[in-house]
Amino acid sequence: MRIKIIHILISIFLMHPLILYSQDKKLIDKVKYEIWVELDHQNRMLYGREIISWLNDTEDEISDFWFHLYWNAFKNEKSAVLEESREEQFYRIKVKDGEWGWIDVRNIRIVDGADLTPTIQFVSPDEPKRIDDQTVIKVILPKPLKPGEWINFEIIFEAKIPRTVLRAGYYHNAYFIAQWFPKPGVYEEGKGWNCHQYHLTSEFYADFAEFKVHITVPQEFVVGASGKLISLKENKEKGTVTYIYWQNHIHDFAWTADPDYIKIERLFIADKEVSKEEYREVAKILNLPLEDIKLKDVKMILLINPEHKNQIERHFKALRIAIKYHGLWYGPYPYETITMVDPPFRSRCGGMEYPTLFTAGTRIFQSKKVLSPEGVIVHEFGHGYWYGMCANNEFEEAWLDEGINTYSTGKILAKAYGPSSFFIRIGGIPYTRYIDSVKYYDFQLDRILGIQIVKFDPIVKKSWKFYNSASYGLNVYQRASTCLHTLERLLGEDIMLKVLRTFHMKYRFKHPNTQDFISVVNEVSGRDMRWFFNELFFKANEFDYGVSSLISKKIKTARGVFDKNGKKEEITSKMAKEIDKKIKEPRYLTIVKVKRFGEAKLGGDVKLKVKVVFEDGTEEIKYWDGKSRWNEFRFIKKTKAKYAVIDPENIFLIDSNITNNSLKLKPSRKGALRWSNKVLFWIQNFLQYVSIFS
Amino acid sequence: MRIFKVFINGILTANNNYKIIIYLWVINFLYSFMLVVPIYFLINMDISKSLMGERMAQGFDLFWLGDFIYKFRHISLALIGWVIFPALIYLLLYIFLNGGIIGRLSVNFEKVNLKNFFSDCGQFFWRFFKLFLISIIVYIIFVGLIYKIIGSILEIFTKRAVTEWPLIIVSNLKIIIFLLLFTIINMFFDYAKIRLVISNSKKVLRETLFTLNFLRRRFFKVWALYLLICLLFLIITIIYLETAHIMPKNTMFFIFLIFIFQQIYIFGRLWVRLIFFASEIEFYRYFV
Repeated sequence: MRIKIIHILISIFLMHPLILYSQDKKLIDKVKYEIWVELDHQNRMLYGREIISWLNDTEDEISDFWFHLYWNAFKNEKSAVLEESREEQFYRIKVKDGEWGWIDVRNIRIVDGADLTPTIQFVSPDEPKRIDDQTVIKVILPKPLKPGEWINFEIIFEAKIPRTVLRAGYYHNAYFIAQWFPKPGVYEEGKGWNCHQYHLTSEFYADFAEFKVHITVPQEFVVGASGKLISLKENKEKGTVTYIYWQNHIHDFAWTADPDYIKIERLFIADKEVSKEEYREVAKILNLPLEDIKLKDVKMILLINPEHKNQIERHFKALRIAIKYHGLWYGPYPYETITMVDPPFRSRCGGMEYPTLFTAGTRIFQSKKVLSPEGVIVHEFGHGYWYGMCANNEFEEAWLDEGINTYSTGKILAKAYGPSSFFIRIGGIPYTRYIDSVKYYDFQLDRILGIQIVKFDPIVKKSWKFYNSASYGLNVYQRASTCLHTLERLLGEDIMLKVLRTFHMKYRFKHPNTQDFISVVNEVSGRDMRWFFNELFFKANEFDYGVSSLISKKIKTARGVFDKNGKKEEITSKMAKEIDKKIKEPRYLTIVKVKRFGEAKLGGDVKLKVKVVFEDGTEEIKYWDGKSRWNEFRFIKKTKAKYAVIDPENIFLIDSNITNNSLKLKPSRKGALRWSNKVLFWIQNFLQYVSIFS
Repeated sequence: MRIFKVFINGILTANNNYKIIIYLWVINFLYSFMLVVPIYFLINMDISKSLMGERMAQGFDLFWLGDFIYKFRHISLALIGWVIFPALIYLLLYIFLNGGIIGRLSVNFEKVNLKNFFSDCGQFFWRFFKLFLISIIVYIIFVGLIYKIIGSILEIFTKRAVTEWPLIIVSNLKIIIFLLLFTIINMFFDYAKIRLVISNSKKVLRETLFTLNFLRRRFFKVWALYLLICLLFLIITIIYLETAHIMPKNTMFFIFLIFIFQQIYIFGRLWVRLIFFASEIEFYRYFV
């Protein structure tokens, strides 16, 4: 390994003097992009040129090179995205005539070397084969790239900007430009290129890189982009402006342009946002020195539409909260800027994350009782921590980003804002009156959704191979989040925080996978939790334990023939009754049967708590390893049992039937009466409305 | 004739015929009760022996809701059937009951009893049923088709919208147009029924057309009266919602109290329904 690193370092100095160390001396980006792009607003075109420098940091010799051309997903209905959309039950996207988008590589060559354009081939590596998809190309290198060598490509490309149907494109004068340039796949040592086609239900995977992007737009446009603006040059003759953005340690670059944006810049001042007490508290939980916890100041940039101007403070407040808690809990935000984009109306690019830039999304009328747009701001910023910095392969293991981020969003919203309220929107106006008494936390909503999907797919699965988009979404977001809440309840909140902090910092600017996460869980908790992931992440198994039977009866004198002093003695019914009458303190036998109703079972050192509460208020606690189908517990006590409950603290939030976790001896009809009464009233009213037509 | 006077007279007539409200309430309650019994047993069977029942008694909780959705997800289609089919039967039942309501209200001097109420129900059922069939066509044409056409015209303004504002304006306009169209059609068929009863005619189509002529001449007055009664309904509903909103509901006593309060509201709704017909009859009599 050491030899390999030295090899790489020597190569950097000898073979590629332009590529120096990145700002962070511990980390070198293996890809460097310099892109010049011009927006042709009239014709909805992008004209671009890019220089890509790429380091072979593997031990393999590489003879071909694969690139993503994501925008060809919008070229025609033969693309994987549009074909999958047509085959899909819930997630249909349709491109209207004349609104197609595409990207063409006009020329690709090795800098000062061979023209590779004639070797371009479209490839469709994923199953099922969609051979007409054009979102991945490969070129053949004239000679294999040796380990430790750099290669520099120059690519001339042009792209027709699609009317946005999925993340990128235009609407009216607004542009959101993402997944827009020819981008190398990820080369995995010993495995080859990991360069999937653009799929309907999957996001992305790329190497960390240094980007320098020159964006030329008509001068009336307000621009926002990943990274920081390092210079700006006006060309008065052409009526254009060129913005130059730079950022290292990021794996994607997105930008947006719209003449109507209002651009506001504010500073996240760490010392003002976080108290010393908060620092100390987190340092204590994480067992880290204070200097490791300290946050840095961050420039916050908001691009907001004029009609949402009254929500500027809401946006910034949510962003400050997101920077603060992600930073305190998982690691300080390492970049100097964060750009938050309020997506233009109908741009269909809201709620999406890119490194150091994300899109939120709001409406003109928003209720203060509802955590919107706060939820989306915290969530999309959070992606910057998971997919953004712990850059997992979202094509193959989306939960590692979406699930962890859904979990962490819920935690931050709960900590900073408390519960949210339900609302209904009529005519674009939200109403919370009469339903705002019902408050909820994200984890409760996640559970409702997460338990519905259990039998379709496991959580860990290639994104485009889920049963449908609903199964993909509910599994990788809500079910994964619910499982992580369960894990938190099993390990303890502090240990879970340490797990996520360790995972984040260990894999910051790397490509972790599910096994890496499991290893961190085991390492930090000191427990073997592999069973947890095997049962709940790799299998589509329902988790459902419950109390199946509760019997509690007075112990009566037994009748029949008994051996006593060498003689046979019969206890008759009458005798038994009389003996029972004389007993001043009768005893009761309580038998509790607990059952595993689902297929998922416990493992490791985890046991389910079984609590039995008796009429005199006493309690008995037993533990069950949950491995067999059922088990029983017997108690002899002075009083009858009142109820028995398995997992009384609801540690297993993922349990799909919490109702059967407890069993009472005497039924109570109060709950049924209350809600039947409510339903009765709803029906009476509904029927009266129906009768209007009579 | 002053609208407000008609409205007050309508209230008085409805009060004098309170027995009709009782009949309607009993029918509404029993019918709904029959529908809710299986739900009660379903909830009770599932939850009465679980601690979740206690949570359910405390109020809305996403835990028990999640469990219910999961357990009963396979019967969602059956639930839709359970809602739609009884609703259609109830609609037929109300076509029948309308005969009794209008029949009795139109002869205000006679005391209402079960016999004369149901006799009127039977007498006018077929006429009202035919009228109902006509009304369905009219609803489809006006509320469905015309609303859709107006909607498509309005959508021209939203199609190229660059902010949400045109959408908000248009969707609210559409709601208002829908409600106004609906009230007009509904009011029209109220008068058609009244005309059929008062003229005791069996020629449904002819009387419907005459009604059109009647309304055409004094449309805004008639409509104002209708909207005034709608306002009364709205006030009653808001009073109910505001009060129910602050009432505790987690003990048996409060569950009973809220039940009584809900039934008072249903009574209120039925009372408003009678006021509609009583006022409309009063108005119709004045002009015919």
